[in-house]
Amino acid sequence: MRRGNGPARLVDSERILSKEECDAIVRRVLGFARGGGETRVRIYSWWNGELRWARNRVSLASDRRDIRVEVWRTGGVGRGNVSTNQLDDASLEAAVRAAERAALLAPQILRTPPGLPPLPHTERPTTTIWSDATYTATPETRGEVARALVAPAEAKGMLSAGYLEMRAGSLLQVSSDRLVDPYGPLDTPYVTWTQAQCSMTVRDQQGSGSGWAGLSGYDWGKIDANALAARALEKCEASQHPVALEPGRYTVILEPQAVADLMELIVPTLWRERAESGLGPWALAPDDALHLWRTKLGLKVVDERITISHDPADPELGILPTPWMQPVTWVDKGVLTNLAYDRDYALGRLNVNAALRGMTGYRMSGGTTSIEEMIATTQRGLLVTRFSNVRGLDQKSVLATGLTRDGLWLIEHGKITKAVKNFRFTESPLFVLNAIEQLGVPVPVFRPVKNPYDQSEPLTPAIVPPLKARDFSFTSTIDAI
Amino acid sequence: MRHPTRRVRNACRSIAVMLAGSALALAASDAPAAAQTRFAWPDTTVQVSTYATVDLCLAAVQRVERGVQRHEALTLWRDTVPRDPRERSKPLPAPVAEAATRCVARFPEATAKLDDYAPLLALYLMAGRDADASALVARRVAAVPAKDTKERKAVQDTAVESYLRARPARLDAAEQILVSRAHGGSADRMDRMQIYAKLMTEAKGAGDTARSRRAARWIVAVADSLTPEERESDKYQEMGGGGGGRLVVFAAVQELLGLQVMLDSLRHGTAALVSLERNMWAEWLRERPEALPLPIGEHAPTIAADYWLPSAAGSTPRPTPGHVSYLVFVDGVDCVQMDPLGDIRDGCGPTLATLRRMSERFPTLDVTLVSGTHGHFVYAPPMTPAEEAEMLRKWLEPYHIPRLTVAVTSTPYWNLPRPDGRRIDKPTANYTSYTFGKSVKPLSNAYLIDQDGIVITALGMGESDLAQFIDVLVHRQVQGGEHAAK
Amino acid sequence: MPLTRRSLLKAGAIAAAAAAVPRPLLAQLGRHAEPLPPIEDPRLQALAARALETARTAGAAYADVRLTHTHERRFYPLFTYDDESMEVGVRALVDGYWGFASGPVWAPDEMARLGREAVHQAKVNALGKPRMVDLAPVPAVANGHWEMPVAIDPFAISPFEAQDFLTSLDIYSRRIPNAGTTKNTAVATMQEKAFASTVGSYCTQRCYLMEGVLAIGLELQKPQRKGEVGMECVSAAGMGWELYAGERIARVREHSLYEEMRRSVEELKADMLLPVKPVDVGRYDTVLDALSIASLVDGTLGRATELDRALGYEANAGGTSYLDDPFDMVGTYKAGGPAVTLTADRSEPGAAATVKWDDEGVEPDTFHLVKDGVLADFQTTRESAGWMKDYYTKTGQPIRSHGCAGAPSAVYAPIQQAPNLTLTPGKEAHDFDALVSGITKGIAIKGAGIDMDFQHSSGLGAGRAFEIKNGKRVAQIASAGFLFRATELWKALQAVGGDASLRRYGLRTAKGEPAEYCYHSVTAAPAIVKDLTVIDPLRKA
Repeated sequence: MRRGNGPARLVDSERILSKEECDAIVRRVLGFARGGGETRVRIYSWWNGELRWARNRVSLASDRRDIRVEVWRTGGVGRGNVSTNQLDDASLEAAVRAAERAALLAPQILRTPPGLPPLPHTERPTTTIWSDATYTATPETRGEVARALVAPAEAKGMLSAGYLEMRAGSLLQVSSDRLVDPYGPLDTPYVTWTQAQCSMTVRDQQGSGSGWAGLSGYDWGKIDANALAARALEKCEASQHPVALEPGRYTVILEPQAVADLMELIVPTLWRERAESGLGPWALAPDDALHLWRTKLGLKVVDERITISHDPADPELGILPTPWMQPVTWVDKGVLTNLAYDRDYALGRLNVNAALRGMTGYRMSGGTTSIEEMIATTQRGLLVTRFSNVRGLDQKSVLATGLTRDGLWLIEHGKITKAVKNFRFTESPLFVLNAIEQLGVPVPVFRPVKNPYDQSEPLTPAIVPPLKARDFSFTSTIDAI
Repeated sequence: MRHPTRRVRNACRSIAVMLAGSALALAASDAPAAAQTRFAWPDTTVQVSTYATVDLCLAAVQRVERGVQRHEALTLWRDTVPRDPRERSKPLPAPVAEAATRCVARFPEATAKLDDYAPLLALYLMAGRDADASALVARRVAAVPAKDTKERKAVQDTAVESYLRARPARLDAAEQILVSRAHGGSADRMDRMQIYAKLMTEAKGAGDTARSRRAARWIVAVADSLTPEERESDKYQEMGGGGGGRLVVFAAVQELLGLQVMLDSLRHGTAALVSLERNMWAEWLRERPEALPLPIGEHAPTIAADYWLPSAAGSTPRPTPGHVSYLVFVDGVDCVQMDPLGDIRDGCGPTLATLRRMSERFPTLDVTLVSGTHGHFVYAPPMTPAEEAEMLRKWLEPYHIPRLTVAVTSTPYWNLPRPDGRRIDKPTANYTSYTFGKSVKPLSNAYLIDQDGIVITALGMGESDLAQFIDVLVHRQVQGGEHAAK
Repeated sequence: MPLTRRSLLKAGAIAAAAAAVPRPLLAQLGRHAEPLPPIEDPRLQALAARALETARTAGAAYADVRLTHTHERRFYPLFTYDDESMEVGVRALVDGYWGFASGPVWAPDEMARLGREAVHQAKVNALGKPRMVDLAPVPAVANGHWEMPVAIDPFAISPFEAQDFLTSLDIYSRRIPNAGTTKNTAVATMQEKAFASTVGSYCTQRCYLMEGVLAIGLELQKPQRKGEVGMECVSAAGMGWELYAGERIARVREHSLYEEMRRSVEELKADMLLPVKPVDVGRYDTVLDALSIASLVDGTLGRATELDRALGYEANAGGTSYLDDPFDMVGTYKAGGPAVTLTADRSEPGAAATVKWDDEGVEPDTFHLVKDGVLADFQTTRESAGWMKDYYTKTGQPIRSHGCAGAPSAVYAPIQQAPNLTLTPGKEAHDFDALVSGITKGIAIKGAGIDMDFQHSSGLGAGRAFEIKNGKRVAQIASAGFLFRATELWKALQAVGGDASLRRYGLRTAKGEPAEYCYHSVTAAPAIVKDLTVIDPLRKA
């Protein structure tokens, strides 16, 4: 199997920029710089192979690619930057000149004091999250897959709509001050990545039932699309003609996707500096004697069966390389054990030369109870497929509102008895994680990168268990199917 | 002949020339072309005379001022130039005044809207239209309802602040307003004290001693009238840039004494100066002389250090008896910082430059820099205190401070229990001993110490005043005055 | 020398040629790369034609190509940031299946590659069951060129002038005691677009979009309260720098931006000084301001009348429509009370979705989505207008697209995007305060944001809420929200403010997979909704 950034790939296509191409662009950009000063270059390129279908027919298949070259120039005492997607000399030189002009007009005055120690060595792993299965999937493959996904739904008279996407990208950022190791805080050696996603919604002709299934990950080879299609269809059939229930508190069985949808509210909160500024759910109380905020680090914050961690060596949890690739556990058996921090913080406050990743990709521990067992042991409750339109209402409690979507069922006396009309909920994931009754086996969920232009959004798989929790608060019924 | 360095230098010069030509006409390097031009900027010349609002004029003036600063930064390492207290009495840089003049030309005083009072007043002063400024103030004051003393005071405060903030400061105009209402009602005494302090500083900067002393007297008078509650208030405690109202008052007391009187008594002997300052303080503030919130006259404790640079320096106690010492507490961690973009800023350049000049000018002066360790240095990872001390030394080297002694203390600290683990620094022995048990944190972290180890001053005084103090002490030493007599 | 990315990577002759001239964007129009001419240059047509020829030769029944050159300039008070890009996208139809290919290189060989690739993408899907596409007819546009009229070209003024203006807003805001700007940036976008299709159309246009984010914070001491007001009058518009510097802009603001800011802060202050009450859950006659009504129009009727949504084309993405039986509902369904008339267009001067031709070369028309409460039509492209054939034929209307095809740039495939929407004002000259004065006991809401369900039917709204007593707003209500169902809401619409109270807002919406972000304007007046359900959104069940 070929490696992602090997030279072989250069020959078959120009879909994303190779390392050699990026290096050549960097050389040319640096060559255009005039008058000394630092030049920073950031180059990213992406390719998408996509297929959309609706009403059981492919509505669009596409092949798209684009590039951005961002140039920062320090000239005089300021810094300016511009970006372009054109790679010819004229355009790159123009970008450099424009960045230099912006630098001349920049408000800041930059000057590095002499006599500072050299930048410390920073490991920059160059591993890739690369799958040839993703990159080499052809339009023909996507077409065949789509037809196979649509067929069972169509055969049952249902309407299937969905999306298949294979994507690859490359990223490089360097500074003329540090063309080789050690890298600066913003530098990234050449890295490549792939991502595949598949999701579909199956609805009946009357619009009285809807089922969904989806999965994303860097490796198309690991996505069992046919299983997804079967699940979406099954859910659609089972969700037809729902009845309206009274809003209120219900025991809920949340499928892994529903749990992941709630966990999105927690993801951005797990940072030390936020908590130590008194913000978000993990700030405890101000310590007036020490003039600082105590945090909930070390305290039990959720059910002791919950551990939330990430190990980059876990083949299911690949991430784009960062200098800090050590395994991390944010919540260990219900106790908040780590909050993320950057290197500056670590140096100053902890005296360690390290950074701790935020909760991007993650694995949440589970149990062994199957969803069927959860149902069988439920007197009265609701089975939730997933949530939609989730929005935070309060930072401190992480209280949020959102909707159930694509399959909600009433469970009575250990059995699913009827499909239920969707609800709006008003609930906090922290409350849910403290009201757990049963946990199932963690599985990968659907969590694709949304914006191809924003490489700061890392590729972040999540592995999440289904769970049963008490007293989930549904506040109103909604019309949408 | 094209020498590469010259090319670079020429490029730099052309940047400078471009900026110097006019801060407004920062012409784009791209010439117009028929074809579409990537990133083309239009002519960057701005016709400020067409600007329709005074806010736009102020914005333009601020921008031009930034341009001037940038230009200056290209040609002058300002951090190393002594801060000139008289700078504020110099006129505005020509491009700034020009921009203000051109922009505000379309706002004649007679038809100016009183809504625009404050910004327009600032612009008139920048444009040198002082008559219009005072007419505007008069018209604005006249528009205040007769009984609304509070609003009148606010309007006058704005005027005084504008006059003091102007370059050069319009001291006459500011003082006139203050005098005219000295007997009128006034809402907040602490606000008044601050305005007086500003007047004092500006007058001092302009070398107008008579006026600065008048302002000092007003400060002391207002301070005298403060209620105990007012003295306890946050506002009073945070006055004077955080030093507290008492230090504002003390600065006024020093002003009333006058630099020459202080230097004369210092020539006479340190004890004379100390008792003069303490007594003046007690007299004006009606407090015990010992209550002076500054360590003037205290015995300077010997500095403790784990690492001395050069290492031989540790064999002599610092401050060294028989030597005049200038002692500065500087922490590398506070001085050099890196922002998220990787840019590094040196916040202590001016302090270090002052140290260098003092050390060069007075070959017998002992210059000691006192620092603590923090477990890291800018972006450098944790290290032993010895390594950190070495990094401090390397950082200080390019400042070329002759005979500099650096005392580095391994800062004692503890960590919050894991998993929090945050490092909590404790004050070093040096820091503790140099607070002299005073409740008020000194404004400055610099101490001038005489041959007998007595603290002469701890207030952050201007460089020229500091030099005069050192000069007297050193001179005294050379002449074998007080010290030799003992 | 062909202009491909690879050849450009090998710096060579082009570098030497380019060094002498100003910094041009390059396009290969003939045999060599050359500076990019303005979009109306006739030679670009040959480039576009190359893509169409290749697609047709490869088997496309229909093909179109778009070339976009996008220049974005972000203004901050202290600096300016530029991004410039060129993109090209080719779309082909083979046996009812669409293929699309796009990239960043403008060169004949690349046009040919994209043309072939688009057809290939379509063909591999045409292998399965048949799919019917009946594109609504469109007259060919022969060499049309259009430029969006702007009073002040934001790329022609000195960036300093724009920076000065933003700084002056900061300065002005601080004139108001305890106030100051909290957000203050502006983005100008110029997009040139060439479009060609196998119908025989070729047209070029230059459009502008100006968008600002401006908010002012206010901190009161007695009582201690913090507030912020966003200046929606600088939300996205198909305008130039006049969006900021202009004096009065019809339907956007009555005064200069400074004066508008002063009034907004004063209004905010007066609101903040009202006593604060907890929410008393119940049903109330509610006065909603123009921004709240615009949000509601956009989130309900606006989305629901997108025909592709109504038919399930967005089921797996941005959601469907409660108008879920479009062909039976159109012409009969009561989408609201008689006061509800909603029109759509992409020709309103100054609006954010305004173009001369859409991304299929269709000149958009003004049309009714809802007329006197009855669902009258849907938003369409050439393909989706074809779906409406029976209805149009039955009602004697021409089968035509309403010109709603669009995409952020040529790298994205065009899909149906929201046009500009206008809720017809009431006949009486009421404004917000006049509407409030007519209520004895009720609620008033300003600046509501809404969360809709994925069928755009039930929603939760929340904004600054006030208690109304005897025609006056007497208290603020802490944490108040409202629940509604789209059709009930529009049936309960009682009084709509007059023409003078209409306000236009520029909104950005996401649609499609991959998500495409496009802008449109919504114009609405304040209005009264009878018996709106007011709740506390923070209260759990």
